[in-house]
Amino acid sequence: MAEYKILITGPMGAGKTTAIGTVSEIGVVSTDVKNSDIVQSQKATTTVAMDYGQITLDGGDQLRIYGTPGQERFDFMWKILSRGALGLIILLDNARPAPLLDLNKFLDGFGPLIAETGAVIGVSNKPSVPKSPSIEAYYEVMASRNMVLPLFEVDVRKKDDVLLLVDSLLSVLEIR
Amino acid sequence: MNRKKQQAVAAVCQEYLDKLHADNKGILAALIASADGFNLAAIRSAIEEERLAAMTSSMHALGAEIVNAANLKKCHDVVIEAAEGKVLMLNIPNSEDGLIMTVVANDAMVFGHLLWACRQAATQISEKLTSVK
Repeated sequence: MAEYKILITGPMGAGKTTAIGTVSEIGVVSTDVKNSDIVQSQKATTTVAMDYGQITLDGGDQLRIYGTPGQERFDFMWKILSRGALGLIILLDNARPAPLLDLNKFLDGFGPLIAETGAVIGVSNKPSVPKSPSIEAYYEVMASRNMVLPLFEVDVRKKDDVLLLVDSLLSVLEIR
Repeated sequence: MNRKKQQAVAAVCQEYLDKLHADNKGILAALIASADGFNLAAIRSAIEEERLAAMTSSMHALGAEIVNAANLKKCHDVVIEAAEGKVLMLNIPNSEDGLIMTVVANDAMVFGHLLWACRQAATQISEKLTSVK
């Protein structure tokens, strides 16, 4: 039985902890603490070290899923958690002030990992979330960086949506 | 916590950090961070305070999760022993936002004395904060 490691990252409040909790077969290891940064997000709690969950793939292989903190002041955790990772899922949220800047920030922050492995992007499509920026705008940001990453509109509260991101990432990694 | 109270809390933290530093010359750096990694007060050092505050938050949260997994109830302190010194991360008891004190000391400082001095400072800060409105 093989074990694989992937990361889920994205800005504060994008749904990283929720996504892992949606698909994990074990109780999620969570390092959430009280959020005092209400300028960044109105969330009551925030992840300050990592989240961790596991799912079993077809054939019995284990997928270990690590969630990163979203804030740049925790970028040391981004580097630590990137070690040994097979690939990256970036979650974005149109309800945040500048989602396209968020995309650039995480493409920069995880540049070495993306270059070595692969990444897919999930943009929240919850009914309450604005439809702007458009999906095309996200692709334009990637095109300006000579990148084309698979992008999906997802609701991370839905298991099938999170598994779509995971399966897509694994497919990307297979063809590399 | 409103801004005025945050400033009053930071002033209390600074007062006791300065005293801890003055009484213990082996201390190289010390700060008090919020549970989510913001620096509230620090003594001047060569270490980047904002980064150390964020690391304090991560380390203490991981410690708490390990304690939780081991059914040991509540994480108080995280201790790192290094080749040329040690790092202590202590919970400030009963603080409203789960404040954490991190102290970096050189290897000349006896660990037991460092732990005693830091716990005493943490307790004093905790007691003083009860009167901060």
